[in-house]
Amino acid sequence: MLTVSRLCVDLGGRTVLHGVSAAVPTGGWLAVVGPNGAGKSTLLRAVAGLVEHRGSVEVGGLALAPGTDRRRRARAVAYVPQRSVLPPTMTVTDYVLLGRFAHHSYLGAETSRDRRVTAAVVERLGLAALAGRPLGQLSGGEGQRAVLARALAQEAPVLVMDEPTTSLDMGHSQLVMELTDELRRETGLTVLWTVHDLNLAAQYADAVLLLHDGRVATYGPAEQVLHPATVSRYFGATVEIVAGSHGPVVVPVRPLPRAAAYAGAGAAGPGPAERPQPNETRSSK
Amino acid sequence: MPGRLALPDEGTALQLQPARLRARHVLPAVAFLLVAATASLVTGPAGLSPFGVVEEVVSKLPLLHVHSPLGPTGSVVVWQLRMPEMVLGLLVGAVLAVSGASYQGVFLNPLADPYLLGVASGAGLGATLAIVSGGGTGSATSAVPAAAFGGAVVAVAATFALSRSRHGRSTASLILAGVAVAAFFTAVQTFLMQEHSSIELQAIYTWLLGGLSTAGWSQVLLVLPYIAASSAVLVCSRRLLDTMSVGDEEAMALGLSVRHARLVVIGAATLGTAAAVSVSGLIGFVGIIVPHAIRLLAGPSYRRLVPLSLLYGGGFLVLADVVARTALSPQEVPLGVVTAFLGAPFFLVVLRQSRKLT
Repeated sequence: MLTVSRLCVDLGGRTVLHGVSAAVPTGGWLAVVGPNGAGKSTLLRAVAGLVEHRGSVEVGGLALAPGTDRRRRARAVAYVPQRSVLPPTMTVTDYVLLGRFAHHSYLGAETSRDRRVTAAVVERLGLAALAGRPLGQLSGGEGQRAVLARALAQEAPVLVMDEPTTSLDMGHSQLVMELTDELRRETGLTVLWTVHDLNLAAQYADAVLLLHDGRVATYGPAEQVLHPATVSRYFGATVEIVAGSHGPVVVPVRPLPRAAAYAGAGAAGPGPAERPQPNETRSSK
Repeated sequence: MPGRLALPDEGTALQLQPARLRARHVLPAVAFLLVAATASLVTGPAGLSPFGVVEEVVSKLPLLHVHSPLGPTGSVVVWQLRMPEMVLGLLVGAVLAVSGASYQGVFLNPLADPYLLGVASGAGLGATLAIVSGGGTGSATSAVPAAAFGGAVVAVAATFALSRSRHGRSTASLILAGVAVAAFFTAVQTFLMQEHSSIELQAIYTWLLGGLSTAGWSQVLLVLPYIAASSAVLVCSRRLLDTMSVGDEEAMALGLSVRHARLVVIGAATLGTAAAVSVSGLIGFVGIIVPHAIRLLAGPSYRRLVPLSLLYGGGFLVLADVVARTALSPQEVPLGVVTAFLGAPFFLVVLRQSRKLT
């Protein structure tokens, strides 16, 4: 269980997050969406303890205050940044083993358990054949699996991922998402994830948190949050929402001519929306 | 527990091959060190027979009962001239190489060397001040190590103080502050040199170009505690350097207090390098050539690189010293010239390779 309450972050004299609160149950998956500059990455970095913050972050009842020992925090929260540094000459095994840093003694060698966890993760993510390969020789998709493996090797109950699929094509994005979903079902991992692609958010997450200007704009199941008027208001995009088999599907469409758009602007506002029925289509017309 | 996979047995885990220091890495390094040490002991102008020197050394080992063929003069040459020079070469080479490797790890920059933060220019200014204030006399020369050591520590402390900006201290700001401090200290040193006579200039140049030829046991004992402490800290930090290789933010997320670890590593490397240059002058390129050559041999992991740098660094500098003493015998080539002569082309090879990687 991950609980974030009244989280505030100041960066360079500017408040970037204004009291964000959210709770993700054990094994739950929360997607954080929002336009560029909304504070999504900052929220994740605060949860991972990488920026100074006020307010509280709790994992399984354990409070992670800003001064919390880094190793203790790394055992509670695993963090995957938007673009991970993959040292090109380091092997996959050595890279995944870095995930065990917070488990073995500070200056000491890895233990037999560290090696077994690494082996389990490498095997589970289909990297066994690549274990001795330098990271520089991996494809984008393989590299992202290595990053995920390193995060899983931390054996932290919470996995925080900042746009992990940004540099991947559609197939590899899906692969990474499916793997993450399988892992959380298998191990009860709690996932906090930022994503630009609203469809991925809608398909995989149990709940979506829409962040705007460092505040929670809406927060709830994807069907409730992803409303054409909401998307139009916060992203400035015109979309239609189609009910898909795994949640709503967001389809960007060309805006209507201005006159028609103004005529309909007052009618649709953000708020609790009813669940779209299959084959029913809504738009911000 | 959430987030945990079922674990395989130990046998499956053993199929993974994490980077570790193994006998096949250590034995060649030790052999190289012994060859270099022997080569250093048996060469010199005294005309001693190489076998005689080896027997003299072996005769001092317990339980072997070997009788030395050398007379008292030969014995003094071996134990009071050649041995301290060789040991000092080992210490200086080892600490320059291990500091270079550590700096490359901390700054994530393959071209970082132990002089990056101003050690060389600080030591240079310190030594210059000592020589010019004493007018190039013997008393001035004896003050050089302390002055050089002090100058080096002051320069790095200045770099640290200046690199702190409103947003904290980044490796980039440290490097830039190091460039500024080095330029300033070098400018002052150049000014002082211009103001003084050729006797002093000669002494300054001799020091700047580096060498081990004045080495005696007192110098070895002077620097041994610093170099031993510095090397011990760096060897203990080798896993931290591996963790740092994924960048500050990810290393912090993995549980490493990066700021603290960086401070410890830079502090230890600086102290060791300052001690080394205080007695040997400015010997360049060891901190770059040796770690990169080891990367080519044993891979990039700092778990291997750091301990191997100690062994190969020591051996390399001792061999370079043999070349310096014999290449134009009886004239001696400055040691810094020999390492630069070998190092500059190697540096270019590394530069080309690192371009390919980025």
